[in-house]
Amino acid sequence: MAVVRAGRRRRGFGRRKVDRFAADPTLVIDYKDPQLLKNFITERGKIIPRRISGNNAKHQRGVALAIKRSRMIALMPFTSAGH
Amino acid sequence: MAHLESMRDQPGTQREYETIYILVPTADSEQISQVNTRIRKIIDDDSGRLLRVENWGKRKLAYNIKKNSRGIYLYWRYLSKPYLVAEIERTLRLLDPVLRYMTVKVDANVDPHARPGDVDDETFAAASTTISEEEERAREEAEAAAEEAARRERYRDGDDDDDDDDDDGREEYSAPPRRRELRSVAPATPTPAPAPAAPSEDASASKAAEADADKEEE
Repeated sequence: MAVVRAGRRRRGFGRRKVDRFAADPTLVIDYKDPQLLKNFITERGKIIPRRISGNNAKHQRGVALAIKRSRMIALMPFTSAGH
Repeated sequence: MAHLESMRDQPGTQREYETIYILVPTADSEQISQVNTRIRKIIDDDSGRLLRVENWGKRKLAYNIKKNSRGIYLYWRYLSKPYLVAEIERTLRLLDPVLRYMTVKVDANVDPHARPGDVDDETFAAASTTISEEEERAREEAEAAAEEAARRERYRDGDDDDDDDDDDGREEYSAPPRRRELRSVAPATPTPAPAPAAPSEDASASKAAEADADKEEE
């Protein structure tokens, strides 16, 4: 379909990504808190990459570790594909 | 038994650990307290110090473990030497009602008397009673509601949910065509079935404008 590429303002990003843990120092990454960690996995249960979640490197490491621990004691799913 | 101590620990200090273990959902308070007593004995007998024992109740597991979809969670926090963890985990492995266990080092080089422990016989006994099913269900519902709210929050993220690259809420081709600068690419192709979600009037309007512009050029 012929698409008129006029009036385009910028390419890509819909919104600015923020590191939630840097923005709010009271927020603690804890493997015992699946409610919080749920924000960092996809519906299938995969860990969301940094380029999408917006976490900085340090916090992303913490989140990934916490999710993996959480999975070990069945607080979070390894996958939610088939059940 | 004599144990070698880790060279990275300062002498005279202990490590702080937390252990979570999951018991079969059918375990009654007697079985739970049996397991708990075994573990407590290991810690108490060997200079460890209990800081906290909690029963998290019968929770839904994120995946089935040995065909169980629920399990009773117990959470322990204590100070001890590294070799005690090995002993505790060995014991948990041998006990039948235990589905899963995990120990995490929280802190190292802790002065054994620096941390307050709130475990006495009463709180310890309380940890072996699981809260009733109804309460548990209520808690789960509250959790589900919170989750639902969070999900809704996520969808309210300022994305206008169409597939173009800006977020001005309009489909891309409804942008007003600028005269002369138009690089019209053969609009002659018959419009394929009207785009489902698109504001089709806008689209056809700009199509028409485009066609006009073409005519002018001719």
